[in-house]
Amino acid sequence: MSRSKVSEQQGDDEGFDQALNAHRDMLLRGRSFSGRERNVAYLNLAAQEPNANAGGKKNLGGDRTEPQFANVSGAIGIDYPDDGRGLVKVDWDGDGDLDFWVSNRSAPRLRFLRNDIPEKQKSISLRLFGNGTSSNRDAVGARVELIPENNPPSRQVQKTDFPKLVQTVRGGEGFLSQSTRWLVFGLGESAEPQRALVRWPDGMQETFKKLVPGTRYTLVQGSGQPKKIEVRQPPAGLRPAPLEVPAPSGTVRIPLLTLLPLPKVEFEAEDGSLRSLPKGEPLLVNLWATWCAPCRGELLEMAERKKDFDQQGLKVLALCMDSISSEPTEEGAAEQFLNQIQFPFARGQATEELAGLFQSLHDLLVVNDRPLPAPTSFLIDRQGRLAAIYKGRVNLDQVFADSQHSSLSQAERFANSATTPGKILENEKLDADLEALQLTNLLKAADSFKQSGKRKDAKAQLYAGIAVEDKVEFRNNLASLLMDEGRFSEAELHLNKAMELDPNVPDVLSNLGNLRTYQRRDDEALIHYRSALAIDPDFALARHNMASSLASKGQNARAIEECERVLATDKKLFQSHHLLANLLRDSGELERALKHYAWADQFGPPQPRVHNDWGIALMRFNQPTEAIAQFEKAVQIAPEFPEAQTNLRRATYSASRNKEN
Amino acid sequence: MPVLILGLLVLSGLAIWFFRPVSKAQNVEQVEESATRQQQTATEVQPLTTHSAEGVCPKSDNPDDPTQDGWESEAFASTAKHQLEEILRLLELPVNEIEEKCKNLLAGHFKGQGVIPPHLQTVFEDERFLVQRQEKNEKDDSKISSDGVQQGFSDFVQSLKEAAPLFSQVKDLRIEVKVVGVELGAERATTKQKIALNGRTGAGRIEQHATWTAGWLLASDQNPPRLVSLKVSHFEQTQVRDQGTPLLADCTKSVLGSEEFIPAQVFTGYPEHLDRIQDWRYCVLLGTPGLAVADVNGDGLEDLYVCQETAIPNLLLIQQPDGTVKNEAASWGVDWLHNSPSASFADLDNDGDQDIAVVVAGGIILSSNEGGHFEQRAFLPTADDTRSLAVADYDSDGKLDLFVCVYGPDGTITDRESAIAGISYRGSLYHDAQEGGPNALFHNRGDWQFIDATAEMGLGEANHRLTLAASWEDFDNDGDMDLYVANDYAPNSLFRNDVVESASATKPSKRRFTDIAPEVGASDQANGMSVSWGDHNRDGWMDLYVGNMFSSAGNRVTTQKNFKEGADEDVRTALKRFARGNTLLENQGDGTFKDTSEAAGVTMGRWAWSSPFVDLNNDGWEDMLVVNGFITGEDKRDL
Repeated sequence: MSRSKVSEQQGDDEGFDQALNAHRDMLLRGRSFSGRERNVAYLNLAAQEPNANAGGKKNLGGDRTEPQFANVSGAIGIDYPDDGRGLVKVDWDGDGDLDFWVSNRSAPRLRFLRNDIPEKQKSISLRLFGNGTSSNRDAVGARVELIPENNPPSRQVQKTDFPKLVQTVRGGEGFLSQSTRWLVFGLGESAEPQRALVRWPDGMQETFKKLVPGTRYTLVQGSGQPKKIEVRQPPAGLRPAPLEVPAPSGTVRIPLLTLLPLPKVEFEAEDGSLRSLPKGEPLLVNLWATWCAPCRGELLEMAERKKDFDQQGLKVLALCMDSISSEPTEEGAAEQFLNQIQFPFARGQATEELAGLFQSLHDLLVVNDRPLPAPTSFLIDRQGRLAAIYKGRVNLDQVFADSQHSSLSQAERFANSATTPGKILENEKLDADLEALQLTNLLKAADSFKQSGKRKDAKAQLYAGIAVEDKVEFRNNLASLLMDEGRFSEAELHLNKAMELDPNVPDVLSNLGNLRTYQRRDDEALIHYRSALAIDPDFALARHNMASSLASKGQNARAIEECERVLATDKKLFQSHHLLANLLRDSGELERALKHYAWADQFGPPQPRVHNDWGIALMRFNQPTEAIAQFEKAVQIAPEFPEAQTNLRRATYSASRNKEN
Repeated sequence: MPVLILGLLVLSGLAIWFFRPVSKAQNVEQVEESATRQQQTATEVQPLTTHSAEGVCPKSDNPDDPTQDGWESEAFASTAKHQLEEILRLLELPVNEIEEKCKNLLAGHFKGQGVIPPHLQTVFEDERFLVQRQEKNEKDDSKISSDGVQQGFSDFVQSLKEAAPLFSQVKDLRIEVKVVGVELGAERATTKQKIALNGRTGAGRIEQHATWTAGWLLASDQNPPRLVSLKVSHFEQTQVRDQGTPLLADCTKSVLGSEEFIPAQVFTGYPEHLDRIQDWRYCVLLGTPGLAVADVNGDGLEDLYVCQETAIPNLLLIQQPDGTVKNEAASWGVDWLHNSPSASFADLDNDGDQDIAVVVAGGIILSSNEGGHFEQRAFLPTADDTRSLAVADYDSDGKLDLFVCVYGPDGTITDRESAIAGISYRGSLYHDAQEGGPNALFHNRGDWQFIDATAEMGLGEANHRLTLAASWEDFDNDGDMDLYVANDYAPNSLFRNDVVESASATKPSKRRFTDIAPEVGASDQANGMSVSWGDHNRDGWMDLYVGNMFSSAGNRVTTQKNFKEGADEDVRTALKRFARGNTLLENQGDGTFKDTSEAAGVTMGRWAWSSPFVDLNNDGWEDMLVVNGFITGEDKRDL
């Protein structure tokens, strides 16, 4: 918060964003944030204040010198550190006081707390029923005031001297909670009969008389008569006892909602060669280590159930991680163990790349980013898609059942991913919501593969996405990837399809522009950039590319103008600083050009071209010494940069000539 | 020379996604590191790594390290907290060891009060409770000496010695020091803190709360600071007599019996579920297990519906005559797997039984009680990021209507990590966030027809807060239901229910809701988490208790002089207010509210969620319960 914005006008504080990101990432990795807080209870002390029963505002609230409430959290035993969320009040055992159910984030996720106040602290409990026509049957909104029978009703209308006892029938309060509709009126040790003045939701007023403390009644609108509820015997099944939550088993089964095509990845085969994962048949890849006892037990069980695997048509590949862990392991120990148990399936060694890939796919798909344990298994379907992840020892019968998982519909896969069976509502909107998650995950996976240079795998994700739903995003991103590879005609097909799906997406228009630029059709490119910018004038990349096109057409003045606009939206777009610097240099505005070279350098990664162009500018204004420094930087970053090398030679020559002169 | 044309800048995708690079190196490190660490364990699972302090957050970029982020006062706060805990721990020592230890913790010329005031005044006593407070005159500085309150070092030691015998009897003593203010000078420092002690005694439980102002003498070397003065401005001690089990007796084990769902849904915490939950959208880290109560089967016993997050089936716990429960969610047809933050039982069709509205991400499922099972009648689409549900008949037509709260906006959070953590105020004003999803009001037209009446009723304007909770009540005693809405990072709303009489006889009068919170002093601009109504002062007007966040760190930082230096004083005040905690808004009976939270002593609800009024002890006066805590991870260090 110390870094949050204080006004809309203030720009984004990068420090704040960075702090937030760091914060967030730590949470995802298991840090606590205001965790283990202890629940709180405040006891209202007003009943025993000297003037409490004089009532009215004058002696209560604002005028008091002592806090009206005492913190009794630990004293009454509600101070559990469970990350509580919901709390409902309910006289569960029917003894006339309110008990509580609490729901938590941490385990135990539910607590039932029975209120054990002394029996002599009596109440009158009322359940109201509206007439179901002018008042809702639940009587939500009904207002009830309890007054002692011995007070003449006429006095009740005015402000009275004694404190009022008023409650409303409510439908939801607190956070995520709907408590009982019974109204429980505490009366202390008073045995005095009461009457209830009810204002029903439709405005009707009704009085119910002779209510006896320690009794529960139903009040039906218009009946005028309270109906007594029989006293409930204390339920025999409730006994206080400490609740001990067992430690989590750590085994986790994750049948996947999003079916990602598994990228090409290699393992080390027995003969030491690198091989791709087998394809075309369902496969269970098991990551294990010789130092991991549960791993060994699991492999033995697999070996023993070879027949069942065959029956299911499921192959196994056991990949040992000994060689990529720093655990002391014996050479050949894995082999020895597998031979000893006569392991009947394929085997090999996991590579770092393979382990890393599975970890990152897991982190992409599952909320908690946690290192995969040993053992972990991955179920890959016939089409080479990742279908399920099992952390910890697998239940083989479950795995056999899950071998059908990827052939299920999306809703069925969701149901299959549940802890326990449950019900799914067949509904278009909910389906679409689930599908959106899948599509986003595929896009994210594609993006991450692209970033790590795995274009082919990135494309596989996008094609998988199109198979779920043909969307602009997939087509556009495919086109981007294809353009990177110089496959312009294929890219064009996808962009055209994207335009068919939605002709007004700035990113697609911009990509069309890029395509034409690549094809050296600058006039057409400009048209597309302009259309993109007409929809999103702050689209810095499109504007930058437009400036590039203008520059290549020789329209330097307009290109400068566009660059300036780009930098007004995105002042750190180093490429635009670079382009603008070149343009300014060629228009003779040396001072400004030099500034933009410096910014291009400052905001971007080391760029030999920036230094080369910078050097050229300095040369033109006859500053060979400064130019040499720039060319040297260019060559230092990129030793194989012939242009910079040539420029460096020339500059050195020219400097020496200057000296001679 | 022609201009050199630079390469095109190519977009990678439609959106600039946050992505997780497939990083090889990182995983290699984890593999290596882990292996050593986990060698000896032979549990079912052997993690490849543990999240140690070194492994996960190198010190330099740990945002939780106060020495690193420019707040020296934060570093001092943690030192002071440690020192005070040491002092309080002396209470557990044998009396003869106390003095020696004090020498390292207190300055020789210490002047101030002892940790426990010598004279206590009883402010509440009944069969169970004994509440005592420091006698008033002890708070007056000028009277400290004349009233014989300990002054010097030896007096302080003596006070500890006198208190120690009591505490040596206390089992499970818990000591908590929350530093809420720091003033750091060159040689001296002052800290303000809330102190809490509690534990079990032979007769029941004891609990103490105090507010201390501590003066510190800073050491020039590496030595920790020593206490040089102490002022106790508030001291409260509660003792509850019980027979071993607390007043609120935990009967969870017996009430649940051996129901099948217990291992997966009671003993498995939500953090563990997140190890397999895949729908990362919409603040999934939070955990939203809503609860609803009613007698579902008409047997006179109350039953419980438990809402569960995505891919965990909701529970319907039917109470048996002996008080225990059986989960009948499946046979009643409400074991929904959809992410269900909240639900409400209500007789929506006025046929005399309890129907159910289950709020899921993206809508509300309405089902009719058909005796023995619920039959689905309607699905009301809403924005995705739903939270609490509030039911009432706002137009007094005899049928119950629904108001559903929505937190974040639909589908716009594409940054996976931020979405998970619910960091959705990024880029908006911390104290005035306006980028939430729209809340919705559904009008019940009968026969299971519901229409979205949000806009028509005037609730559509500025409907973009991050809303967590709402509750209906007739705050102005005019006979119709008004609505209080609690918003995160923003002012709350109080929607007054108005019927505008039509001027012409032919036109019907018109109902509108108007947000009057700012005018009537009910905005409570903070992190509104929950809403509860109750008449805590018994004046016949319903007061509000609003769940918020108490943060000691927030209190410390926002009270520093350099906090938001140069910002508007209004903004500074507003931000300071965010760390205060829960709010009690006293209904003045004239249409306005007065914030009496601090005078009433009810702000310290910590990171609060449900905070209802409830008359705990049946004395006719509303008490409060607060369940709280944000996120407890397996890593015990708290951010």
